[in-house]
Amino acid sequence: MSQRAVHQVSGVILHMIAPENTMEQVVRIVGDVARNQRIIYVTVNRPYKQLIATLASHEIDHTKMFFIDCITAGGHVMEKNDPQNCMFIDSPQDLTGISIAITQAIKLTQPNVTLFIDSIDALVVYNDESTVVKFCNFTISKLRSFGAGGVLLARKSGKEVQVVRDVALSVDEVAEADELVEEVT
Amino acid sequence: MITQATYNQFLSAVSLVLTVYTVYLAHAIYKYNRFSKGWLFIIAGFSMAVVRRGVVYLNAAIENAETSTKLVLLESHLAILSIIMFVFGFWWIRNDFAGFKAIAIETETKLKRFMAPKKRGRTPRKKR
Repeated sequence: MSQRAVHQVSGVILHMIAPENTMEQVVRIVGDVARNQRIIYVTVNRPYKQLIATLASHEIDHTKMFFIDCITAGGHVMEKNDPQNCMFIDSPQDLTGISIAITQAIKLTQPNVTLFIDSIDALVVYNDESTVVKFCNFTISKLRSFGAGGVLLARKSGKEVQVVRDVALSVDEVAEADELVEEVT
Repeated sequence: MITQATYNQFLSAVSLVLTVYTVYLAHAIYKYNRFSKGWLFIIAGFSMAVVRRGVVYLNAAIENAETSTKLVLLESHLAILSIIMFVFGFWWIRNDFAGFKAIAIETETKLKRFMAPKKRGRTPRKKR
């Protein structure tokens, strides 16, 4: 993977992450991209509060990122003291709701924006494999039509789930986190 | 020559087949968007309509007055049950669409505030 692609995401990249120290790897990737681009971060793994605490502990400026949190308690109602850089979706099963939020977010933040989806295998826990593939393909098409970059994260488990293999066919590039870490350091 | 009874039976049979096809279509739509559980009620409603059509078809063939009365009562119950399923299912689907609209509006509101240039506080001048 080229150094340019790490700093400036222009296409759609599928990032395979090693199962050990996943958060460390995610933080490195996000921190690197956040230097040059706005980030829309769809989290299916960790709640917003935990995520920003981790990013802050690594001195990454999360105020320039917009989060779409799919796991903080469902039935969230908009409150006055709601974080302005986070949209809460009731459930990771609400793929239509997630798609709507992503579309709005890309439309209003373009150009120079990168979408992160953390992660594809977490989506598979809550949805059918075929539905997740359809969702990923829809999101990839959306990103391309808006000219935005995308990073889809997936855990490298040795025997990758069929979804990851299917999504790999639609992206511009498949990257291994190890390569990225070596290049960044 | 086609009698009135035969014609009625023919219509009932066509109606039965079309309702079964509607159940299939409702199930296919549900498969596209599994999140909307309201479609399950629509499927249940159409399935009851299939049974109801079957009862009507059966009733047309039966000559026993007592059995026929029971079947008419069963048909009425099935009709009201299927309508309840439709009402509940479409109410659920409408709520889902309202939720999607709410997500779009809330995301837009938050993003506009997020994208707005931040006001920088002035640093107070030092007194000489």
